[in-house]
Amino acid sequence: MRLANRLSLYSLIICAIIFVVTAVFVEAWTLGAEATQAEWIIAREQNEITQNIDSLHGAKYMSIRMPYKKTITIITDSTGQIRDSYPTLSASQIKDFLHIHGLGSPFITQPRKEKIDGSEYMVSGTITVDGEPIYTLTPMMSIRLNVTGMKIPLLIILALFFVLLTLTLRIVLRRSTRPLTRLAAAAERVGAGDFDAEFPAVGKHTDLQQLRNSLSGMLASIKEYMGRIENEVKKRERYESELDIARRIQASMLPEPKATIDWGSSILEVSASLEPAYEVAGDLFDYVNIGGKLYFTIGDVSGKGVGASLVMSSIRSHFHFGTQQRLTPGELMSSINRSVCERNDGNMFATMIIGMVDSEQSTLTIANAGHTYPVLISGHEVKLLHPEPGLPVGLFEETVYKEMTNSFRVGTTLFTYTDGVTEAESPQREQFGENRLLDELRNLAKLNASAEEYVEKIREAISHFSARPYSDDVTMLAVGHVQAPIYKITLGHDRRETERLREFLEETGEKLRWSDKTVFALNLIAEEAIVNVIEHSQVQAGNEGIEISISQDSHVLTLIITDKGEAFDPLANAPEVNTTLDAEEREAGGLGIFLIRNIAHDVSYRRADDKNILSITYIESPSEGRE
Amino acid sequence: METAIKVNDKTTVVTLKGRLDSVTSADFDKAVESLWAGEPTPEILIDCKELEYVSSAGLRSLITILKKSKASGRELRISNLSPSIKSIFDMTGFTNIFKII
Repeated sequence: MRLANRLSLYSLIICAIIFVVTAVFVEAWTLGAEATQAEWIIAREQNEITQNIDSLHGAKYMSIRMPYKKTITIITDSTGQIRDSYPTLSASQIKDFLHIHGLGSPFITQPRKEKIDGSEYMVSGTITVDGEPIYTLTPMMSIRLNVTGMKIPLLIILALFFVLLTLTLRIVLRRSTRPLTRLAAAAERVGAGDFDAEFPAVGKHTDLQQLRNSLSGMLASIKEYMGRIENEVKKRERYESELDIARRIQASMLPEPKATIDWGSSILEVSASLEPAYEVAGDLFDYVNIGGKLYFTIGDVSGKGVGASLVMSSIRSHFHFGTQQRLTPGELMSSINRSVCERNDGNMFATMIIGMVDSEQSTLTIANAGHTYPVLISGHEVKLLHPEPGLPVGLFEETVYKEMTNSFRVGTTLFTYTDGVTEAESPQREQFGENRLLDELRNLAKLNASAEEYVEKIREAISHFSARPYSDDVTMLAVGHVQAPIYKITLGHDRRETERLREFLEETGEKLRWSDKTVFALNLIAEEAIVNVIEHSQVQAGNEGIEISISQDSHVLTLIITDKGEAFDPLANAPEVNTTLDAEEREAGGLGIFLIRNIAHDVSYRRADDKNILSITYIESPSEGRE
Repeated sequence: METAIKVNDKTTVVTLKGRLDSVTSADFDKAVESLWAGEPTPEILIDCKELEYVSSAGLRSLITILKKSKASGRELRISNLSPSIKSIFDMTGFTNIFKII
């Protein structure tokens, strides 16, 4: 309900109550036990009154009809003696009357006020037809009130007055609250989104003006605030899209997560994984194969986000540059440390490990700048290495980094990681931890895992253990030293097997990246060797397999053809070929071994284990084929 | 390995396609027998444009053709040798005894 209406309703109720109370009060006051008599006095005609009194007293008198209640009629005789009174007076009242009347006091003709028995009365008298005086005492209150005839009109006027009052009040209240209504309407429009709504003028009431000014001020503040928020949102969107761009740039600049470093008789397999916790990563990994050495690094820049990722990029640049200069891991770490210290406005630092595998010595040299200890896996043995930790890079310019050297023979793998791995948390707030990591690595070592398998399986383990998003970048890099693979095939004692041979050589050629020339040469060499075996080697049933194995050491290919036939040396039995002879003189056949000898670098035969073993070496020219 | 033989006016053109190795040389030998039958042309041309590979068995086949053509007084020429096959010819002295164009 509106305020104006409520207030006018209240005032109406109050007025009504007052009115009722007043009416009741008035009624009670003027009503008396004398009502009957008052009516009687008022109502009756002169004759009747006379008759009645006659019957009462037998005296002749006349009463004067007084239009008030509580009129007392006294009948006296000519001597002034009270003969009777109506209503019956009390003794004290009579006494008082006598006092008023006095002895033979002159007849009161002029009405006058007298106090009788504590109340004020209007006393008046007159004389009867017979000469008898009659006094009338009328309580003042009755006179004053004078409601007998005027009671109803008076009440009506009072009622009207109250109604008018209520209506006026209602109108006034309505008008007073109209500004509030208008302000409320304006506020509603603002609430609906119309920030250009205006709060209307409210006239001269200062408190309403204050309200209006407050509301206007509030609206202005809201508009300004909204404007600022819009700007912030735009900025944030731009920032986030730029962050997105940064993430993609960074992702595209990451080194290849997998690489095979082919040093001929031995091969290094590098496998790495980096999962950033935020859009851009602070962890880093990198590796460079240069001058017969494989340099690798893994690191963790303090802090997160764009700042850390910038330091990370700078460190990678320095790493690459340092490897070009053939620095050792310790020297390289020092150099990187100095450069990070130099430009360290943001007080960033990074823990790092730099390692270097030497192909010739089969050794691994490590420098450590406060990083998590790497794990060396040798066959089935898994152990932590403890290269002496120098300070993280970026803290102290003069830090010297010591180096630790281990043997790194075939069958060894180094597993490095950042603390995002060991500190990954499960939903129960348990950390992955070093022990769990070592256990997992041990299990994988038993299965002779490759570098790629170590990284992949640990990555899987972390993703099952901890929920994304990770609280820190999860990074690992593994370097495994593996033996050069040997490619084998066993053919049957049948010329038609040359088709399988051709396919085998094509596949192997792809894996070892042979040039077309090499593929051709190998095809020729192998075919001639096989055909020789098929033609000349006596073989018993069940021993028909001819085994061919190929391995490659840098540019040197080794082809070994083994058969289980009776002893036969193709080289010893090869016919001589004279290439200077004329066509007529030339032999049609016998060119097989000749071709092998001239195409391959070296051919040799030996007999072992009841097998004929023909070893052929072919050298690819360095300008073609392999990288 | 496909052998196509086409007899022109003066020349019989033998076109080789594929690999001439210990398995396919037998088929090749059979295919070229027609060179010695009927009315031989004075010239024989062996087109090696699509010859991918040749091993000692193939060389043997070629030498045989050379001998036979010389015996029958015909001229044998070999054309369009790929570099790798040419080097085999060089290696085995075939370059000197065959007419290579």
